[in-house]
Amino acid sequence: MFYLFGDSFTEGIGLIKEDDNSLNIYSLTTFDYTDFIWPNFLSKYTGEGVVNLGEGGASNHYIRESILKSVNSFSKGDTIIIGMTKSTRLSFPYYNKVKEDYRYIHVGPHSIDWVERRNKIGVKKWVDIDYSHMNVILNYYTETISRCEDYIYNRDIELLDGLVSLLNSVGCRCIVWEDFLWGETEGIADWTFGRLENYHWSPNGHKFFSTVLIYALENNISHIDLNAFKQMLPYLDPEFKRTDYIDFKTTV
Amino acid sequence: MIYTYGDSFTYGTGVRDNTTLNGKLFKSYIGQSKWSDLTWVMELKRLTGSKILNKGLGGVSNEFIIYKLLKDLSQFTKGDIVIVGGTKSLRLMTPAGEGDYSNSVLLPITHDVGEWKWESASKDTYAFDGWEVSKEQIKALISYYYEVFPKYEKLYETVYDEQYSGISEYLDKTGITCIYWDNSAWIEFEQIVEWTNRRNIDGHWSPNGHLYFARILKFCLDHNVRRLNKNRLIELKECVPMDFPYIKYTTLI
Repeated sequence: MFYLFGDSFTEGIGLIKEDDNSLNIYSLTTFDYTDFIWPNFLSKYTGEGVVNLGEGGASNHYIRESILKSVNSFSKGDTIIIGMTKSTRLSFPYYNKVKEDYRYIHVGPHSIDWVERRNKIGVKKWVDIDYSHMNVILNYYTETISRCEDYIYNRDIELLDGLVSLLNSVGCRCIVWEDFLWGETEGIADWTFGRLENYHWSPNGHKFFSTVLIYALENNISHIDLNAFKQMLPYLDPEFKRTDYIDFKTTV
Repeated sequence: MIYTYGDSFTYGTGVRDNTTLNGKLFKSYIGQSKWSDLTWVMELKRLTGSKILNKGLGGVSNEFIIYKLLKDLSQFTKGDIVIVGGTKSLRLMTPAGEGDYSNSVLLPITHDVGEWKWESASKDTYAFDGWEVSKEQIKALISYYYEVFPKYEKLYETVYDEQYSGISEYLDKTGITCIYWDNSAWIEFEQIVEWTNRRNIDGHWSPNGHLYFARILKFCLDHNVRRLNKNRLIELKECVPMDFPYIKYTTLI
Protein backbone atom coordinates (compact mmCIF):
# COMPACT_ATOMS: atom_id res chain seq x y z
CA MET A 1 0.00 0.00 0.00
CA PHE A 2 1.15 3.54 -0.77
CA TYR A 3 0.42 6.33 1.70
CA LEU A 4 0.89 9.76 0.14
CA PHE A 5 1.44 12.96 2.11
CA GLY A 6 1.96 16.43 0.75
CA ASP A 7 0.20 19.53 -0.49
CA SER A 8 -1.83 20.39 -3.62
CA PHE A 9 0.67 18.64 -5.91
CA THR A 10 -0.16 15.39 -4.12
CA GLU A 11 -3.87 16.08 -3.76
CA GLY A 12 -4.07 16.79 -7.50
CA ILE A 13 -5.35 20.37 -7.35
CA GLY A 14 -6.07 21.74 -10.81
CA LEU A 15 -7.27 18.37 -12.15
CA ILE A 16 -9.55 17.13 -9.40
CA LYS A 17 -13.05 18.58 -9.15
CA GLU A 18 -13.70 20.96 -6.29
CA ASP A 19 -16.63 22.95 -4.86
CA ASP A 20 -15.36 25.99 -6.73
CA ASN A 21 -14.14 24.94 -10.16
CA SER A 22 -13.34 28.46 -11.35
CA LEU A 23 -9.59 28.07 -10.75
CA ASN A 24 -9.20 24.57 -12.18
CA ILE A 25 -9.51 23.20 -15.69
CA TYR A 26 -13.24 22.53 -15.37
CA SER A 27 -13.82 26.18 -16.10
CA LEU A 28 -12.49 25.36 -19.60
CA THR A 29 -13.39 21.76 -20.33
CA THR A 30 -16.03 19.13 -19.84
CA PHE A 31 -13.51 16.34 -20.27
CA ASP A 32 -12.85 14.54 -17.01
CA TYR A 33 -9.16 14.62 -16.02
CA THR A 34 -9.64 13.65 -12.38
CA ASP A 35 -7.89 10.30 -12.90
CA PHE A 36 -4.86 11.88 -14.54
CA ILE A 37 -2.96 12.54 -11.35
CA TRP A 38 0.29 10.86 -10.32
CA PRO A 39 -1.19 8.82 -7.45
CA ASN A 40 -3.39 7.05 -10.01
CA PHE A 41 -0.55 6.57 -12.50
CA LEU A 42 1.57 5.12 -9.70
CA SER A 43 -1.21 2.79 -8.57
CA LYS A 44 -1.82 1.56 -12.13
CA TYR A 45 1.88 0.93 -12.75
CA THR A 46 2.56 -0.90 -9.49
CA GLY A 47 -0.84 -2.53 -9.03
CA GLU A 48 -0.85 -1.36 -5.41
CA GLY A 49 -3.50 0.59 -3.54
CA VAL A 50 -3.02 4.27 -2.73
CA VAL A 51 -4.22 6.34 0.22
CA ASN A 52 -3.87 9.96 -0.83
CA LEU A 53 -3.64 12.24 2.22
CA GLY A 54 -2.36 15.29 0.35
CA GLU A 55 -4.05 18.59 1.19
CA GLY A 56 -3.91 21.78 -0.85
CA GLY A 57 -1.94 24.59 0.82
CA ALA A 58 -0.52 22.28 3.50
CA SER A 59 2.65 23.29 5.31
CA ASN A 60 5.48 20.92 6.19
CA HIS A 61 4.34 21.15 9.79
CA TYR A 62 0.88 19.91 8.78
CA ILE A 63 2.39 17.16 6.61
CA ARG A 64 4.46 15.91 9.57
CA GLU A 65 1.42 15.99 11.80
CA SER A 66 -0.65 14.03 9.26
CA ILE A 67 2.06 11.36 9.16
CA LEU A 68 2.17 11.17 12.95
CA LYS A 69 -1.61 10.85 13.09
CA SER A 70 -1.55 8.02 10.55
CA VAL A 71 1.48 6.06 11.75
CA ASN A 72 -0.65 3.40 13.35
CA SER A 73 -2.29 2.57 10.00
CA PHE A 74 1.03 1.70 8.37
CA SER A 75 2.19 -1.90 8.09
CA LYS A 76 5.49 -3.53 7.22
CA GLY A 77 6.03 -3.29 3.47
CA ASP A 78 4.02 -0.09 3.00
CA THR A 79 5.59 2.79 1.09
CA ILE A 80 5.18 6.31 2.42
CA ILE A 81 5.70 9.09 -0.14
CA ILE A 82 6.20 12.51 1.38
CA GLY A 83 6.04 15.60 -0.80
CA MET A 84 7.71 18.51 0.96
CA THR A 85 6.23 21.91 0.36
CA LYS A 86 7.58 25.44 0.68
CA SER A 87 9.13 25.83 4.11
CA THR A 88 7.54 29.24 4.58
CA ARG A 89 4.01 27.94 4.91
CA LEU A 90 2.33 28.12 8.31
CA SER A 91 -0.63 25.99 9.39
CA PHE A 92 -2.99 27.39 11.93
CA PRO A 93 -5.66 25.27 13.68
CA TYR A 94 -9.30 26.29 14.03
CA TYR A 95 -12.38 24.47 15.21
CA ASN A 96 -14.55 23.32 12.36
CA LYS A 97 -18.18 23.37 13.51
CA VAL A 98 -19.40 21.14 10.69
CA LYS A 99 -16.77 18.43 11.13
CA GLU A 100 -16.84 18.88 14.95
CA ASP A 101 -13.09 18.61 14.98
CA TYR A 102 -10.13 20.84 14.39
CA ARG A 103 -8.91 21.61 10.89
CA TYR A 104 -6.16 23.87 9.61
CA ILE A 105 -5.94 27.00 7.57
CA HIS A 106 -2.70 27.14 5.68
CA VAL A 107 -0.98 30.50 5.41
CA GLY A 108 1.58 31.22 2.72
CA PRO A 109 2.69 34.08 0.48
CA HIS A 110 -0.53 33.70 -1.50
CA SER A 111 -2.68 34.33 1.59
CA ILE A 112 -2.09 38.07 1.92
CA ASP A 113 -3.59 38.92 -1.49
CA TRP A 114 -6.28 36.34 -1.06
CA VAL A 115 -7.47 37.74 2.27
CA GLU A 116 -7.37 41.30 0.92
CA ARG A 117 -9.44 40.36 -2.12
CA ARG A 118 -12.01 38.49 -0.02
CA ASN A 119 -12.11 41.36 2.46
CA LYS A 120 -12.88 43.83 -0.36
CA ILE A 121 -15.92 41.85 -1.47
CA GLY A 122 -17.28 41.87 2.08
CA VAL A 123 -16.28 38.41 3.31
CA LYS A 124 -15.49 38.90 6.97
CA LYS A 125 -14.17 35.49 7.89
CA TRP A 126 -11.65 32.99 6.62
CA VAL A 127 -13.36 29.73 7.51
CA ASP A 128 -14.15 30.37 11.18
CA ILE A 129 -11.44 32.92 11.82
CA ASP A 130 -12.31 36.62 11.91
CA TYR A 131 -10.30 38.87 9.64
CA SER A 132 -9.07 40.91 12.60
CA HIS A 133 -7.32 37.73 13.76
CA MET A 134 -6.34 36.85 10.25
CA ASN A 135 -4.52 40.15 9.84
CA VAL A 136 -2.54 39.53 13.04
CA ILE A 137 -1.69 36.01 11.81
CA LEU A 138 -0.61 37.36 8.42
CA ASN A 139 1.50 40.07 10.02
CA TYR A 140 3.18 37.49 12.25
CA TYR A 141 3.70 35.34 9.17
CA THR A 142 5.23 38.20 7.17
CA GLU A 143 7.54 39.41 9.93
CA THR A 144 8.83 36.06 11.16
CA ILE A 145 8.10 32.86 9.24
CA SER A 146 8.44 34.20 5.69
CA ARG A 147 11.89 35.65 6.44
CA CYS A 148 13.49 32.49 7.75
CA GLU A 149 13.03 30.10 4.84
CA ASP A 150 16.52 28.56 4.93
CA TYR A 151 16.38 28.04 8.65
CA ILE A 152 12.95 26.42 8.55
CA TYR A 153 13.91 24.32 5.50
CA ASN A 154 16.89 22.86 7.37
CA ARG A 155 14.70 22.16 10.38
CA ASP A 156 12.05 20.53 8.16
CA ILE A 157 14.69 18.27 6.63
CA GLU A 158 16.02 17.26 10.07
CA LEU A 159 12.54 16.45 11.32
CA LEU A 160 11.63 14.45 8.24
CA ASP A 161 14.87 12.49 8.55
CA GLY A 162 13.87 11.57 12.10
CA LEU A 163 10.40 10.48 11.00
CA VAL A 164 11.76 8.52 8.06
CA SER A 165 14.20 6.62 10.29
CA LEU A 166 11.32 5.68 12.58
CA LEU A 167 9.20 4.49 9.63
CA ASN A 168 12.13 2.54 8.20
CA SER A 169 12.70 0.84 11.54
CA VAL A 170 9.29 -0.83 11.33
CA GLY A 171 9.74 -1.95 7.74
CA CYS A 172 8.07 0.93 5.89
CA ARG A 173 9.83 2.37 2.91
CA CYS A 174 9.88 6.16 2.47
CA ILE A 175 10.48 8.47 -0.43
CA VAL A 176 10.77 12.18 0.28
CA TRP A 177 10.61 14.59 -2.66
CA GLU A 178 11.18 18.32 -2.53
CA ASP A 179 9.16 21.20 -3.92
CA PHE A 180 11.74 22.27 -6.56
CA LEU A 181 10.14 19.53 -8.69
CA TRP A 182 7.04 21.68 -9.11
CA GLY A 183 8.70 23.66 -11.88
CA GLU A 184 10.53 20.77 -13.55
CA THR A 185 7.67 19.59 -15.72
CA GLU A 186 4.59 20.81 -17.55
CA GLY A 187 2.08 22.92 -15.66
CA ILE A 188 -1.56 23.61 -16.47
CA ALA A 189 -0.74 27.11 -17.76
CA ASP A 190 1.48 25.71 -20.55
CA TRP A 191 -0.82 22.80 -21.25
CA THR A 192 -3.83 25.08 -21.75
CA PHE A 193 -1.76 27.54 -23.86
CA GLY A 194 -2.03 30.17 -21.16
CA ARG A 195 -5.79 30.03 -20.92
CA LEU A 196 -5.64 29.17 -17.23
CA GLU A 197 -2.98 30.73 -15.01
CA ASN A 198 -2.51 27.67 -12.86
CA TYR A 199 0.95 26.31 -12.23
CA HIS A 200 -0.05 22.95 -10.82
CA TRP A 201 0.87 20.01 -12.96
CA SER A 202 -0.99 19.12 -16.14
CA PRO A 203 -1.82 15.43 -16.77
CA ASN A 204 1.56 15.22 -18.56
CA GLY A 205 3.28 16.77 -15.56
CA HIS A 206 1.62 14.21 -13.29
CA LYS A 207 2.56 11.40 -15.64
CA PHE A 208 6.17 12.59 -15.72
CA PHE A 209 6.29 12.82 -11.96
CA SER A 210 4.99 9.27 -11.65
CA THR A 211 7.98 8.15 -13.76
CA VAL A 212 10.30 10.04 -11.38
CA LEU A 213 8.81 8.12 -8.47
CA ILE A 214 8.92 4.79 -10.25
CA TYR A 215 12.59 5.39 -11.06
CA ALA A 216 13.21 6.23 -7.39
CA LEU A 217 11.37 3.09 -6.27
CA GLU A 218 13.27 0.85 -8.67
CA ASN A 219 16.65 2.37 -7.82
CA ASN A 220 16.23 2.65 -4.05
CA ILE A 221 16.37 6.44 -3.98
CA SER A 222 14.81 7.62 -0.74
CA HIS A 223 15.21 11.38 -1.05
CA ILE A 224 14.66 13.23 -4.32
CA ASP A 225 16.58 16.45 -3.91
CA LEU A 226 17.99 18.49 -6.80
CA ASN A 227 21.14 16.35 -7.10
CA ALA A 228 19.25 13.05 -7.12
CA PHE A 229 16.87 14.47 -9.73
CA LYS A 230 19.73 15.64 -11.99
CA GLN A 231 21.26 12.17 -11.83
CA MET A 232 18.04 10.44 -12.83
CA LEU A 233 17.10 12.98 -15.54
CA PRO A 234 18.89 11.21 -18.45
CA TYR A 235 16.70 8.17 -17.82
CA LEU A 236 13.44 10.11 -17.73
CA ASP A 237 11.32 11.79 -20.37
CA PRO A 238 10.49 15.34 -19.25
CA GLU A 239 9.57 16.48 -22.77
CA PHE A 240 7.26 13.54 -23.36
CA LYS A 241 9.11 12.39 -26.49
CA ARG A 242 8.91 8.74 -25.55
CA THR A 243 5.44 8.69 -24.02
CA ASP A 244 2.03 9.55 -25.38
CA TYR A 245 1.44 13.22 -24.81
CA ILE A 246 -1.98 13.96 -23.36
CA ASP A 247 -3.55 16.86 -25.26
CA PHE A 248 -5.80 19.39 -23.63
CA LYS A 249 -9.35 18.78 -24.84
CA THR A 250 -12.06 21.28 -24.16
CA THR A 251 -14.94 18.88 -24.77
CA VAL A 252 -15.46 15.14 -24.64
CA MET B 1 19.00 3.82 28.23
CA ILE B 2 16.35 6.28 29.38
CA TYR B 3 15.85 9.51 27.41
CA THR B 4 13.85 12.32 28.96
CA TYR B 5 12.29 15.22 27.01
CA GLY B 6 10.34 18.19 28.24
CA ASP B 7 10.63 21.68 29.68
CA SER B 8 11.95 23.03 33.01
CA PHE B 9 10.10 20.31 34.99
CA THR B 10 12.22 17.75 33.20
CA TYR B 11 15.35 19.86 33.25
CA GLY B 12 14.98 20.22 37.04
CA THR B 13 14.72 23.99 37.35
CA GLY B 14 14.65 25.13 40.96
CA VAL B 15 16.39 22.04 42.26
CA ARG B 16 19.16 21.15 39.84
CA ASP B 17 21.15 24.36 39.73
CA ASN B 18 20.70 28.03 39.05
CA THR B 19 18.94 28.45 35.73
CA THR B 20 18.36 31.47 33.54
CA LEU B 21 15.05 31.46 31.69
CA ASN B 22 14.13 34.37 29.46
CA GLY B 23 16.62 36.50 31.33
CA LYS B 24 15.14 35.68 34.72
CA LEU B 25 17.32 33.89 37.23
CA PHE B 26 15.71 30.84 38.86
CA LYS B 27 17.80 30.01 41.88
CA SER B 28 18.45 26.54 43.07
CA TYR B 29 16.90 26.33 46.52
CA ILE B 30 19.09 23.48 47.59
CA GLY B 31 22.27 25.41 48.15
CA GLN B 32 24.38 22.29 48.60
CA SER B 33 25.92 20.57 45.64
CA LYS B 34 25.42 17.11 47.15
CA TRP B 35 21.66 17.66 46.96
CA SER B 36 21.59 19.13 43.51
CA ASP B 37 20.66 15.82 41.92
CA LEU B 38 17.33 15.58 43.70
CA THR B 39 15.42 15.75 40.45
CA TRP B 40 13.00 13.09 39.26
CA VAL B 41 15.38 12.29 36.41
CA MET B 42 18.26 11.46 38.78
CA GLU B 43 15.94 9.63 41.16
CA LEU B 44 14.56 7.51 38.33
CA LYS B 45 18.14 6.68 37.40
CA ARG B 46 18.67 5.40 40.95
CA LEU B 47 15.35 3.53 41.02
CA THR B 48 15.85 1.76 37.69
CA GLY B 49 19.64 1.45 37.59
CA SER B 50 19.55 2.65 33.97
CA LYS B 51 21.70 5.22 32.25
CA ILE B 52 19.76 8.38 31.61
CA LEU B 53 20.09 11.25 29.17
CA ASN B 54 18.14 14.35 30.13
CA LYS B 55 17.12 16.48 27.13
CA GLY B 56 14.78 18.76 29.09
CA LEU B 57 15.15 22.52 28.55
CA GLY B 58 13.49 25.38 30.40
CA GLY B 59 10.87 27.54 28.67
CA VAL B 60 10.45 25.42 25.57
CA SER B 61 7.20 24.82 23.71
CA ASN B 62 5.51 21.56 22.76
CA GLU B 63 6.54 22.16 19.17
CA PHE B 64 10.17 22.37 20.27
CA ILE B 65 9.91 19.23 22.43
CA ILE B 66 8.43 17.34 19.46
CA TYR B 67 11.19 18.80 17.28
CA LYS B 68 13.91 17.48 19.64
CA LEU B 69 12.17 14.12 19.87
CA LEU B 70 11.77 13.70 16.11
CA LYS B 71 15.39 14.72 15.57
CA ASP B 72 16.57 12.02 17.96
CA LEU B 73 14.30 9.19 16.77
CA SER B 74 17.11 7.44 14.92
CA GLN B 75 19.19 7.20 18.12
CA PHE B 76 16.69 5.08 20.02
CA THR B 77 17.06 1.32 20.01
CA LYS B 78 14.83 -1.53 21.09
CA GLY B 79 14.60 -1.66 24.89
CA ASP B 80 15.18 2.07 25.38
CA ILE B 81 12.76 4.12 27.44
CA VAL B 82 11.62 7.58 26.32
CA ILE B 83 9.81 9.82 28.80
CA VAL B 84 8.16 12.90 27.35
CA GLY B 85 6.73 15.72 29.44
CA GLY B 86 4.33 17.99 27.56
CA THR B 87 4.23 21.66 28.44
CA LYS B 88 1.59 24.41 28.28
CA SER B 89 0.16 24.66 24.81
CA LEU B 90 0.48 28.44 25.06
CA ARG B 91 4.18 28.47 24.43
CA LEU B 92 5.46 29.42 21.06
CA MET B 93 8.84 28.95 19.45
CA THR B 94 9.18 31.33 16.60
CA PRO B 95 12.03 31.72 14.16
CA ALA B 96 13.64 35.13 14.46
CA GLY B 97 16.63 36.90 13.10
CA GLU B 98 17.97 39.83 11.18
CA GLY B 99 19.78 40.59 7.94
CA ASP B 100 19.86 37.59 5.65
CA TYR B 101 18.25 35.43 8.34
CA SER B 102 20.86 32.77 7.75
CA ASN B 103 21.55 32.77 11.46
CA SER B 104 17.94 32.51 12.52
CA VAL B 105 17.23 31.25 16.00
CA LEU B 106 14.19 29.87 17.72
CA LEU B 107 12.81 32.48 20.04
CA PRO B 108 10.79 30.96 22.89
CA ILE B 109 7.71 33.03 23.70
CA THR B 110 5.99 32.45 27.01
CA HIS B 111 3.26 34.21 28.99
CA ASP B 112 5.57 36.99 30.15
CA VAL B 113 6.87 38.06 26.74
CA GLY B 114 5.29 41.51 27.22
CA GLU B 115 7.42 42.05 30.32
CA TRP B 116 10.72 41.21 28.71
CA LYS B 117 13.19 44.06 28.74
CA TRP B 118 14.33 44.49 25.18
CA GLU B 119 17.33 46.74 24.69
CA SER B 120 18.05 48.69 21.57
CA ALA B 121 20.81 46.86 19.68
CA SER B 122 20.91 49.07 16.59
CA LYS B 123 18.67 51.57 14.80
CA ASP B 124 16.19 48.90 13.74
CA THR B 125 16.73 46.01 16.09
CA TYR B 126 16.25 45.07 19.69
CA ALA B 127 18.22 42.53 21.65
CA PHE B 128 17.23 40.38 24.56
CA ASP B 129 19.14 37.59 26.23
CA GLY B 130 21.15 36.76 23.11
CA TRP B 131 18.34 37.25 20.60
CA GLU B 132 18.36 40.12 18.16
CA VAL B 133 15.03 40.85 16.57
CA SER B 134 13.61 43.67 14.47
CA LYS B 135 11.10 46.06 15.98
CA GLU B 136 8.49 44.93 13.45
CA GLN B 137 9.02 41.32 14.44
CA ILE B 138 8.56 42.08 18.12
CA LYS B 139 5.36 44.00 17.41
CA ALA B 140 4.01 41.26 15.15
CA LEU B 141 4.78 38.40 17.46
CA ILE B 142 3.51 40.15 20.58
CA SER B 143 0.14 40.90 18.90
CA TYR B 144 0.00 37.35 17.59
CA TYR B 145 0.89 35.89 20.97
CA TYR B 146 -1.60 37.98 22.97
CA GLU B 147 -4.46 38.59 20.53
CA VAL B 148 -4.78 35.33 18.63
CA PHE B 149 -2.77 32.50 20.10
CA PRO B 150 -4.53 32.23 23.53
CA LYS B 151 -7.94 31.89 21.85
CA TYR B 152 -6.81 28.59 20.40
CA GLU B 153 -5.28 27.12 23.56
CA LYS B 154 -7.67 24.15 23.74
CA LEU B 155 -7.15 23.39 20.07
CA TYR B 156 -3.41 23.40 20.44
CA GLU B 157 -3.77 21.04 23.43
CA THR B 158 -5.60 18.58 21.18
CA VAL B 159 -3.12 19.07 18.34
CA TYR B 160 -0.08 18.35 20.51
CA ASP B 161 -1.79 15.57 22.43
CA GLU B 162 -2.44 13.77 19.15
CA GLN B 163 1.15 14.27 18.02
CA TYR B 164 2.61 12.99 21.30
CA SER B 165 0.23 10.03 21.29
CA GLY B 166 1.16 9.19 17.68
CA ILE B 167 4.89 9.21 18.45
CA SER B 168 4.39 7.34 21.70
CA GLU B 169 2.27 4.54 20.17
CA TYR B 170 4.63 4.17 17.28
CA LEU B 171 7.72 3.98 19.52
CA ASP B 172 5.95 1.27 21.50
CA LYS B 173 5.46 -0.66 18.25
CA THR B 174 9.22 -0.60 17.69
CA GLY B 175 10.01 -2.00 21.14
CA ILE B 176 10.82 1.37 22.70
CA THR B 177 8.82 2.14 25.82
CA CYS B 178 7.40 5.65 25.74
CA ILE B 179 5.61 7.39 28.59
CA TYR B 180 3.94 10.71 27.89
CA TRP B 181 2.87 12.94 30.80
CA ASP B 182 1.18 16.28 30.34
CA ASN B 183 1.47 19.54 32.27
CA SER B 184 -1.50 18.72 34.54
CA ALA B 185 1.18 17.01 36.66
CA TRP B 186 2.73 20.35 37.60
CA ILE B 187 0.23 21.01 40.38
CA GLU B 188 -0.08 17.41 41.53
CA PHE B 189 3.26 17.37 43.36
CA GLU B 190 4.75 19.58 46.02
CA GLN B 191 6.00 22.85 44.56
CA ILE B 192 8.84 25.08 45.77
CA VAL B 193 6.33 27.76 46.78
CA GLU B 194 4.70 25.53 49.41
CA TRP B 195 7.95 23.77 50.33
CA THR B 196 9.57 27.09 51.20
CA ASN B 197 6.42 28.31 52.93
CA ARG B 198 5.98 31.00 50.27
CA ARG B 199 9.47 32.37 50.70
CA ASN B 200 10.14 31.56 47.07
CA ILE B 201 7.24 32.00 44.68
CA ASP B 202 8.21 29.31 42.24
CA GLY B 203 5.81 26.71 40.86
CA HIS B 204 8.51 24.19 39.97
CA TRP B 205 8.67 21.02 42.01
CA SER B 206 10.45 20.79 45.34
CA PRO B 207 12.84 17.86 45.94
CA ASN B 208 9.87 16.00 47.49
CA GLY B 209 7.80 16.67 44.39
CA HIS B 210 10.60 15.31 42.23
CA LEU B 211 11.21 12.22 44.37
CA TYR B 212 7.54 11.34 44.41
CA PHE B 213 7.09 11.90 40.68
CA ALA B 214 10.05 9.56 40.03
CA ARG B 215 8.23 6.86 41.99
CA ILE B 216 5.07 7.40 39.98
CA LEU B 217 7.09 6.98 36.78
CA LYS B 218 8.76 3.82 38.11
CA PHE B 219 5.28 2.45 38.83
CA CYS B 220 4.21 3.32 35.26
CA LEU B 221 7.22 1.47 33.86
CA ASP B 222 6.52 -1.58 36.02
CA HIS B 223 2.80 -1.65 35.27
CA ASN B 224 2.73 -0.74 31.61
CA VAL B 225 1.13 2.70 32.06
CA ARG B 226 1.98 4.79 29.02
CA ARG B 227 -0.06 7.97 29.40
CA LEU B 228 -0.25 10.21 32.45
CA ASN B 229 -2.99 12.79 32.59
CA LYS B 230 -4.63 14.44 35.58
CA ASN B 231 -7.12 11.64 36.31
CA ARG B 232 -4.54 8.90 35.96
CA LEU B 233 -2.15 10.77 38.25
CA ILE B 234 -4.81 11.14 40.94
CA GLU B 235 -5.48 7.39 40.75
CA LEU B 236 -1.79 6.51 40.86
CA LYS B 237 -1.11 8.78 43.84
CA GLU B 238 -3.53 6.61 45.80
CA CYS B 239 -1.53 3.46 45.17
CA VAL B 240 2.08 4.68 44.99
CA PRO B 241 3.48 5.39 48.47
CA MET B 242 5.75 8.33 49.31
CA ASP B 243 8.33 5.90 50.65
CA PHE B 244 11.15 8.36 51.20
CA PRO B 245 11.98 10.62 54.15
CA TYR B 246 10.36 14.02 53.64
CA ILE B 247 13.03 16.63 52.92
CA LYS B 248 12.42 19.77 54.93
CA TYR B 249 13.41 23.09 53.37
CA THR B 250 15.22 24.11 56.54
CA THR B 251 17.36 21.01 56.59
CA LEU B 252 18.94 22.05 53.34
CA ILE B 253 19.75 25.72 53.85
